Amino acid sequence: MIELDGVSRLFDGVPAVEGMSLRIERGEICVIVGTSGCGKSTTLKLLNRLLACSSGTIRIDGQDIAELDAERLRRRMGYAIQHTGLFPHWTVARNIGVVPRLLEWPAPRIEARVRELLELFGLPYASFADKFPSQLSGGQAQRVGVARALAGDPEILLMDEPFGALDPITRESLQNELLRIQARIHKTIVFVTHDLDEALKLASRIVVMDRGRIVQHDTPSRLLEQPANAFVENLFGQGERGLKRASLQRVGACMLPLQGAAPAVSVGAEDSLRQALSLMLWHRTGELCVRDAEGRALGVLPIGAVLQGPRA
Amino acid sequence: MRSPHAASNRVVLSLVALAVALLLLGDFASVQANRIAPGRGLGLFVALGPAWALAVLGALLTLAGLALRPSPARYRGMLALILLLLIQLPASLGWFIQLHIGADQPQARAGLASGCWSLLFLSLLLLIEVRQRVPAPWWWLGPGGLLLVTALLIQGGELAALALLREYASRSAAFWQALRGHLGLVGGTLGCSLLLGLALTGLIIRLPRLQRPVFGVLNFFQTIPSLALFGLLLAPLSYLAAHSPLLQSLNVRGIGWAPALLALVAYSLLPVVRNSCVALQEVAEEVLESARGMGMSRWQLFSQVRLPLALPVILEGLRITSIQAIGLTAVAALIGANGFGSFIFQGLGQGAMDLVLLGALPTIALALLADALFSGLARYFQPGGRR
Repeated sequence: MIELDGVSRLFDGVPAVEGMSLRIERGEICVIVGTSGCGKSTTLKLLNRLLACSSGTIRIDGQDIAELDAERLRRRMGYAIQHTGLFPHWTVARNIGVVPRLLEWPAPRIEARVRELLELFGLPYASFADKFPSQLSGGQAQRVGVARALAGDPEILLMDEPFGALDPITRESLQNELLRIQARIHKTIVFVTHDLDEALKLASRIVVMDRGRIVQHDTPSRLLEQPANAFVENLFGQGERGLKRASLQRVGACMLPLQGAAPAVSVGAEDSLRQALSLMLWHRTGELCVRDAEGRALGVLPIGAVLQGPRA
Repeated sequence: MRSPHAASNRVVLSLVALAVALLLLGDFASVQANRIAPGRGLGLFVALGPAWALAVLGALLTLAGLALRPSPARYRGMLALILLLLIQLPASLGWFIQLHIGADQPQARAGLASGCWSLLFLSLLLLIEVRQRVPAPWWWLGPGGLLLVTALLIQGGELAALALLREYASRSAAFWQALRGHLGLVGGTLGCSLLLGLALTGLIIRLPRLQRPVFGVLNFFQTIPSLALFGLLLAPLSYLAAHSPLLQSLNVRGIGWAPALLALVAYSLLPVVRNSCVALQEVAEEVLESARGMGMSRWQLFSQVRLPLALPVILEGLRITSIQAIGLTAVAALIGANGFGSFIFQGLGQGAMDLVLLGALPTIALALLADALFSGLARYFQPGGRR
């Protein structure tokens, strides 16, 4: 659990972060969003003390981080950044092993950990361990960057726009991978992005920042439904809000029991309502058949059910 | 129809034409009855006899013939011919000595003339040109064979009458002493400028506002001609030495190794400091940020990230410095520093070109070796270069 209590940070007397109080629960993905220069990256660097607080305290599991040794603190936290910051003179395996090495793990344990992480990110050890960062594609390099952040088995993972420089398709597959891996490892993740769809997709809760202050801290659906002010409403795309909310809702939660013949066009139960709507528009139909991953028909999704949203 | 592939190689053609012209118009080698007698230049046909001379010319003309319509196979043939030309060169000198200098002439000496030198350099240029055209990992057999045959012939005494070797034979002790002196001065320069240069670099990185004044001073040193700098150091060093028994005991005087070392270090600092500064400052910000974010200490950050990433560029600075120091050490012979320069200046004074060569050739060889050494090291430490 991370607690920020009245945290401010000034640069030459100008506040970048001001009076920030926030509680991030263990195991959640907290995404900080906002326009450039709103203080979201600064907040992240305050958490691992790459920057010091000008005032206020940050506590992790009740302990004031200002009292801890900064380097040890950082080794307990994973850190992944936009341009990966992989060490160009080291192989992938050595890059991932940085923190375990700093923690003075025995060599066999480091190797086993590197192997495990590479497999977790779908990068076969045999073909990737000895590559240099310059030999990786953007998506592979970023996977290695995140694997490196996880290597020391940290309780907390800090991610500063880690997928920002990737093309949309790679970005989406890495987002899915992050969610898949998080479902297994349950880390506390603080994730900074300016991509609102990414925020809505990944977050347990979203912190919206503007000019160094928290504007709203809420779950994705509540942010869409009850924006705190015009800034948040604007940020989450006014006219597009309905579609954005639909992309958070799963077809499986809205479908009705199947009666009679299954409709011709099918949608996956795990797909979003947004995808379902798109299919309806494309095929000019008001009814979809809902199927599971194996293709079994589970139910039916009429357009009325889409408009109604998930049933409680 | 001619494919573009078949276009003639004009570089090879011009080099061959130049080689043939210089071989036919100039002297190939010369004979001196003794060290002070004027040399008598001999053309290719007289020097090597018609058979050998025709073989050399024939090889060159075949080369030109192949270059008219080159193909990969023909390029390999050209490469083989160039290797032969290189390897036969020391043998042709041995043959020349046998033909023209009898055993009854212990004072006579053979000199290399323009034809011999131009054949050597043009063959090397041809090697460079042809090597780019066709992959042939055995190209080094040419220069390697040249050195090996030369060494074997020297060992067997076949080339003993060569003026260069006669000069060496009469001062072999001085030669090795000059080598030691030269290497000592260059090594001392490298060591001092590395220590001082890295200290200055550290200072600049800590206090960036010192960057301009430090580079200003180092640039200023670089603009002083070397002889002037040696001269400028003469007075203060003599004065200091006269008033300090400690300096006297170290043999520090206005001339000799001390001013030479000081001047060489002054020249060496600019490349060392400039390259080290640029290299250390240019390490990507995100790499440093992630290193700090991983929890590296300042020392770990420097020794594991900054330094290894900067090392190739720092080594490049040392490469420039070492080559520059090897050349300047030769000039420092003028103020009494021991090195190959003393042969060069003695030879110039006596009008003995072979003595000049005895000083110049090893200086060039040292510079080439230093270049190869530091380039190799820089490649070895290139990020991702170690496999």
